[in-house]
Amino acid sequence: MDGIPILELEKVDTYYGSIQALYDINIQIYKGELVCLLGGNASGKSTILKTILGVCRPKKGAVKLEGERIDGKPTKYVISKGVAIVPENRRIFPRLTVLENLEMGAYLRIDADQVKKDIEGMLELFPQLEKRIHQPGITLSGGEQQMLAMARALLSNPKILLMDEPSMGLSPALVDQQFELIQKVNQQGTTVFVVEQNANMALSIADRGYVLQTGFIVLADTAQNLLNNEMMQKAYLGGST
Amino acid sequence: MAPTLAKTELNKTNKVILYVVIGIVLAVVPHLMPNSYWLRIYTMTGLFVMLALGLNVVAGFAGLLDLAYVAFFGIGGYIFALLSSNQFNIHLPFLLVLPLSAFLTMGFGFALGSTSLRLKGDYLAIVTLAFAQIFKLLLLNLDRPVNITGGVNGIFNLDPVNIFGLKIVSPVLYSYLIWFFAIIVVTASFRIKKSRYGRGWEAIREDELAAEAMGVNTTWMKLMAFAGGAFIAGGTGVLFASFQDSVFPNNFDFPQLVVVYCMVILGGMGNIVGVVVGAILLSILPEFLREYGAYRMMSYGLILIVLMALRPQGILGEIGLFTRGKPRPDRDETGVLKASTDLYYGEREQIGQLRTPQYSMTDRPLLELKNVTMNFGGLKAVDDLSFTLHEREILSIIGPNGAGKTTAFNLISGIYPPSSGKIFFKGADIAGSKPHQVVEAGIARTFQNQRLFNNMSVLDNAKVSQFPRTKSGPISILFNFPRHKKEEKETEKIAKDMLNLFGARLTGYRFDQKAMFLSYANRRRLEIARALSTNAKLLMLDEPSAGMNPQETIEITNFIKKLRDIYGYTIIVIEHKLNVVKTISDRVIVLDYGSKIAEGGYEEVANNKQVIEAYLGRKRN
Amino acid sequence: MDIYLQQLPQQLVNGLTLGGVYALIAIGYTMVYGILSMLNFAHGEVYMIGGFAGWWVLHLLSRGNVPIINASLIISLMIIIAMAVTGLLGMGIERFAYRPLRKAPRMNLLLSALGVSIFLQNLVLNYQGAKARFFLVSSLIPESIRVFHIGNVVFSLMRILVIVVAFLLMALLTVLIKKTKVGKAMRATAQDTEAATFMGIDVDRIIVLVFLIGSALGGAAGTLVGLMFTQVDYYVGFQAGLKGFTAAVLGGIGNIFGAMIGGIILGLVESLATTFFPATYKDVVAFVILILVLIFRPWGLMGEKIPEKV
Repeated sequence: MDGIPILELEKVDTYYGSIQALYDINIQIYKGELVCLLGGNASGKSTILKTILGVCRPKKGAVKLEGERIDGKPTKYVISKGVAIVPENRRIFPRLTVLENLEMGAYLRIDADQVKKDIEGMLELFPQLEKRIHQPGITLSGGEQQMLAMARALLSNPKILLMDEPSMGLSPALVDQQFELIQKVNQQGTTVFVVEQNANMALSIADRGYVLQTGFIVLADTAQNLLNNEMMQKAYLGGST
Repeated sequence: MAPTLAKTELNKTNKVILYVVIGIVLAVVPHLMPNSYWLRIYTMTGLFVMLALGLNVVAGFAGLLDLAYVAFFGIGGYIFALLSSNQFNIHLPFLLVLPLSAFLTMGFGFALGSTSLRLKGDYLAIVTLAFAQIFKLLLLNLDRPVNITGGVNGIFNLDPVNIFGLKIVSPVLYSYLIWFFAIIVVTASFRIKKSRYGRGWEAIREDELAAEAMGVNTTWMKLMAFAGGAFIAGGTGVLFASFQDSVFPNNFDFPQLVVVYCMVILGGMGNIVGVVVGAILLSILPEFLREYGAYRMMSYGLILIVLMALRPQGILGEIGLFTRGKPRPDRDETGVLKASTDLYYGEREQIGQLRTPQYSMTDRPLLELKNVTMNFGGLKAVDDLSFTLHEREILSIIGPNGAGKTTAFNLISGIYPPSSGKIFFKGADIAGSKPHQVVEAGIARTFQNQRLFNNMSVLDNAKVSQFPRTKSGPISILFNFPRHKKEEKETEKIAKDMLNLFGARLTGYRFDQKAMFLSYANRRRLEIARALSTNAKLLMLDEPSAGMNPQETIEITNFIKKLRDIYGYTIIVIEHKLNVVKTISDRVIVLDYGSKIAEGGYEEVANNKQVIEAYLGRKRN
Repeated sequence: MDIYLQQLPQQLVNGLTLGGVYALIAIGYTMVYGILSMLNFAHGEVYMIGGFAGWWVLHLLSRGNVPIINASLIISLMIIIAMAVTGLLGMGIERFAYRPLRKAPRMNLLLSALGVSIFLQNLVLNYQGAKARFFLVSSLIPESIRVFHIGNVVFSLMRILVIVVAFLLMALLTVLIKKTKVGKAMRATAQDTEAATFMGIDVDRIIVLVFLIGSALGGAAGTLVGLMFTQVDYYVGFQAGLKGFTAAVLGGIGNIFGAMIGGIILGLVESLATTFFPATYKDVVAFVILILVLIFRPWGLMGEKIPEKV
């Protein structure tokens, strides 16, 4: 990979009070990549995202967006600099319409005309959303909510898209759909960082992966290698020593 | 160095001396008052002490924001005015009216309390406020067509107090009378606080759900809190009415409520000494600042705002609301914690060394789930789950996140009823029972995200769980009957025994340490100890080793085995660490998307393809 | 029965006037609850201060009993300045009494709100006295058009004015929250605060805005009531606050349209009740409704049940 990474965590230690949650985390994500962070329960996955988004401040180390430090900055700043997230369980605004949800995605943008065009573009990409454009978010089916959450996040023209456990709470069929969607979005040029529990799914679309276990990165490799790695199973199921 | 609770345990001789000293002080003080004005203040202070302590029961101990409290004060006062005056020409003697009024007011307390059962926090406050308004309106308007309350003019010229021939008319005698009762209320407060009632209330205030899950009958206790506060307020109302020789609607209005609340909050909610100090301060201080009397109410408002922002636990508050700036280990997110560097204690088998493993799994069924389903508005969290658990079996439930494991626990422990299916425990269907009933039947659980009673000591946390096993009621407690003393001794013994199972970590000086100051691993251990204290037959442990380091994990693993092997418990464990599961389990059940996908011994299950896939995730089509 | 029917149109008008005012107060409660999940107990006093602000404007712009400028200008100024004063007051309350308690237990917040309420009420008592202040509306509106008849119904111009202003403000608010970007951000924040931060929305600023708007509307209500009933005193906030809160709960706490509807319904019910019950008991109507709703249907007419997460 060439150039500076779009997103980098460098020697990051994060604590909750006096309890350490992340140990010496080093992650790099380059432009156009689809990178996944795998881990079971109690691995530290959500802490990583909170550290990136500025919800948690690392005690040591740095978080850099295209070389610029964003660790410790408020969430609003991080978002404004080009990070977008599809939160766990998607979290679309239930009583805002599809259109209003999309508008919220573009909240920080000031180029109103371009926003309009981009929304139209999104609707072309997701015709099901166009059909329901004025319906409240909560009336959408699971799959449609996935699309809406994705489109909403993309409308901020992010430099990197974070996905927090996209498979959580979805039926197996929807999980397939979800990962297809992520792959499609990445193929169109968006850099994506997926934090996931479902290793098989994530690795099937990713370029590279990191495996997190109780706050440590225990494996880092290409997706292909990880899929064939025997240690994966052991590390992944949380069995320690 | 974590601060410890200051516990002043007085032994019998000290107690007697204390009472004698107090008695002398109370006998002498009225004569030291420079004039009748200050004597009146002194007497009013006694009344406020009682009022504040009554509010302390419902708002301080139980944490219920009762804004109708002053109405109970008024009900007591008006009952006396109606039963001992010319209003209806009823002249009942004082010694009859006082308890009568207190009990009648208590009845109103029960009634109002029943509305609190469905309402939380803010809503409760507003509803009680509305009731207080209605009460005031009734007082003002029930003088037409029949004059009951005297309207805005109130009722006056009440009967003088006559106690066995002694006429209480002079201010000095009144001060004796009132402070006599004040001391009784103080004593009663201390007694009830140290009892199962006090602990139960405090547990409810800390975490109502966890309290219910540890066997506290929260419905009953909330009613009793309202009733208790009302009882005291009603009795105080009688004394006040008699002292003032009249009752008016504006004696029992919002400003009085505010003053009493400030007294309780200033002193520290739940802290008896603090509340007494607060009552005395706020009765006397305004007198020194009388020129600024107009600003008195404003100051109360300001006091409330500032206290809440800067020192919500009050000036003395050791039992208090959350303090800003203190470390909050309980606010940590689940699942991502690393245990702090806890010294590795060697296995201190104090009791265990004397006993050898003697129990193993039997074939008698203890718990049976039959086709249990839980539907959360379309999402099946648990889908047609059936399994049988045998006596003294250790069963592990594993599965990826969101598989329904904790939901299964919640169903068994009664947090909510299943959408369909039956749950048999010892042959009886317990599906849909309330959590405290499930505890009474013999099942106890821990919580995945730790629901300890943070402001309570380690020992008290363990003692709370004995609530369903003890029966002492208010009478036994207040009069210190032998039954109560016996139960308290037993409760303490059992709690200490359970804590002792963890060696030095939760014993000795730790007994009095507040749960919130424990290390992460110790908090997990306390959760288990607390569950053990319910005298349960079946233990349900939800991720007992989550966040523990390898050493601690090994320790807890061995401990769980010991619980069954040596002490004979039946145990269900939800776990993610498969090495733990491997060591302890007789059987393993795997859940995925709410359904059971595998069942059997560990080896069998761990090599099951479907299971592996469930954890690593399905492969893509 | 006939007597009641005859009174009906009159009571309807009265009901709508009251209803409009209750709606304005209710909106303040519901907006704050929607975003912070707290009951702003001090809102009633904000309403009361709005009334006083309006009175002062009228007082300062009158010599003796005669207004010195155009009546409609005065009334507009009264309303606008009352809204400005209370809007700022609301922002101040949020900043100093509530923001420090963002992470505190709910009980602390409620007690602090209680403290603010007591403080404000007594502040006004101390500096403005206990006696009621009278709005000299007679000098604002010439006798000839003050009251007019349509059929059997008597309309007071002032009441019509109040209805118009109240509904106008509600309409403006509706436009704000439905059509503007910041209004949508407010709704988004109320529905899911964390997700709103993920959109880059500055939640703190939104909260300030909510207090600003909610309090300003409460202040407007205070002045309108002053114009309608011609008096205000330090104590009116308490009752009005409880009623506004009742309306908010009735409509579904957290739901702005619910607050509007709840307010109107409450106003109508209260008016109609006065035909059957003696006037002194009319306040009981609101309390009884409140208690019944909270016990049997706490999520109100337009709200949703929210189960507790374990």
